[in-house]
Amino acid sequence: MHNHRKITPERYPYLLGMIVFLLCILLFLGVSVGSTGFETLTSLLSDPTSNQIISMVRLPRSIGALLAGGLLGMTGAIAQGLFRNPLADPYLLGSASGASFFVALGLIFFGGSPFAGLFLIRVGLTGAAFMGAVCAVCLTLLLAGGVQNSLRLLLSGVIVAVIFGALSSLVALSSPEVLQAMQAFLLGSTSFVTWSGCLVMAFVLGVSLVVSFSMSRVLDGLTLGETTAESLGLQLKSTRICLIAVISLTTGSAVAQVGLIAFVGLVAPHLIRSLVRVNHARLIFLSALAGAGLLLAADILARLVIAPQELPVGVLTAILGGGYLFWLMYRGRRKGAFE
Amino acid sequence: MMSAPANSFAIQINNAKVSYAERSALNNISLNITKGKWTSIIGPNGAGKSTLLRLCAGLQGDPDCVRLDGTFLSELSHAKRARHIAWLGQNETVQGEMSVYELVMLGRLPHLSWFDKPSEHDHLKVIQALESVHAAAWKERPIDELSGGERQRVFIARALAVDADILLMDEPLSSLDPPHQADCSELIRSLVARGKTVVTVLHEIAFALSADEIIVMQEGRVRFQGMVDQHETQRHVEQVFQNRIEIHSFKNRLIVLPV
Repeated sequence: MHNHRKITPERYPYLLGMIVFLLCILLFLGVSVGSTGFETLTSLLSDPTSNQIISMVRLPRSIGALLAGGLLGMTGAIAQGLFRNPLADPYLLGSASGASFFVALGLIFFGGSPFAGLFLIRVGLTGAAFMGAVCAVCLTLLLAGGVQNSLRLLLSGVIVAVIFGALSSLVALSSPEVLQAMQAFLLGSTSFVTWSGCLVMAFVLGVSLVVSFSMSRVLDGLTLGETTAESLGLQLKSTRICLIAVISLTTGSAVAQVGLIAFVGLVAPHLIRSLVRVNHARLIFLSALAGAGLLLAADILARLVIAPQELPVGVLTAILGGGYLFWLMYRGRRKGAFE
Repeated sequence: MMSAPANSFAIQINNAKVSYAERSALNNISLNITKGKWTSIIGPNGAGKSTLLRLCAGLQGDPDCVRLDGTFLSELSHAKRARHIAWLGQNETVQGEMSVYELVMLGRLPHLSWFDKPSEHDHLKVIQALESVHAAAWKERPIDELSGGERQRVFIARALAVDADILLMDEPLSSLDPPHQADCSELIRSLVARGKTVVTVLHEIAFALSADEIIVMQEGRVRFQGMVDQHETQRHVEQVFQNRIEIHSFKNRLIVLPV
């Protein structure tokens, strides 16, 4: 009877309020924590350097973490609904591997690191990651022969991921100086998010939320299977095209800004489903908020664990996300699920 | 075979073919399904019964071969078609967690546009559908806590909630115990009495013989179509099952005995 312990759908506004409150606290912490310590915040008005650190480093970075996490959480909920697969994550159409490969090529071309200070290098690599993600999704669609068959799409995504993964390794091995920079991209980091990056992510998040809200009824219907959903008059083909475009746009823009962040997109929808039983419109919105909170929390921890140095945030999200999924599976097994 | 005027047919199929890869599932099918009647499709495994039902629903095959109330399926929008035909698939499942009520409400999707909230009328239809399958008492229960038979009743309610003129059901009796099978048969009778057209695919021959008309399928073709009470229909049913069943009349009902 584990469902009865969940928050009932009628109490959704309370859950929403609670999550927003938690996000505010996390944002405050995100602005407070850094290599120069909490004093930077207290001397914000009197010291121009502190002002500079808060407005140009900590604030864009924290808001960037919220937006990138939001994009990944939202995309995870869409992907799991669209492919009727609870293990689907934002990268399932090969976008992560495509982005990695293009970044590897970009590193050889630009000869710098993804966290290099030079604005042009940063913009170039961000663009390369976005292009790579979109190219990989297009290749997946080409291999799958369109969007009609979910299983063929998933398999094509795996094939594209393997091929691009192998090509990235080949590029990294052929040019060892790229290897370390690639590693930084693969582990993910929020430390190079700028206000312009935030603006791009906020725009993509807004547009994607509107599109996915309008399609959420189809995702609800898809829980009954494709044939029954079609019998209910739902237009699966056009929905798939729109939502796959949303998935590639959101993952492309998130990966381009923060590198490869593992598990946030997979875990956020599971976290929401373990708390409340909701339809897809609410699940998508709440997963975006949960993803935002998870990535910012991991980012704050990454800054604190070995301060004044930093852990790559992707390592923390992988450890926390993996641990959470294991706990979910352990709890489910005790109750007879996953059998 | 049918001499009634065209407007007395809910579904008309003309020369339809459906193939799976190399194998032909339906060969040049032409038939009419009478409006306001219960028609049962029967035949041995692999005869093409479910494929025929999917063809009727516009879920498979060429929509230009099927007419609903005289209009070609290809001329109807997705939503209009869905409001006209309710569909219950074989062994339906649901992914994810939802309550009985939420699942049945999915049957109202053809009536809702993108940002619509379910109206009072939608809620009323859901309650009525739940009451028809005696499931209203546990409408708040999560679907994954129900038994197979209880779940099947909820899926039937989901199809009823569409409130369509035509109801297509593939093996609606699966997982139901004998009393609920009888309830389902009565439910179909009450729908037909209200002017609805019901088409079922049934393996339970005795229940299939409760219908008004029978379509006997064999190897992707319609072997025979006729009224249940005609002796010729019963003979075709016995023959399609290699005369290993016998149909007898008992207390004004048809019963099926193995030979």
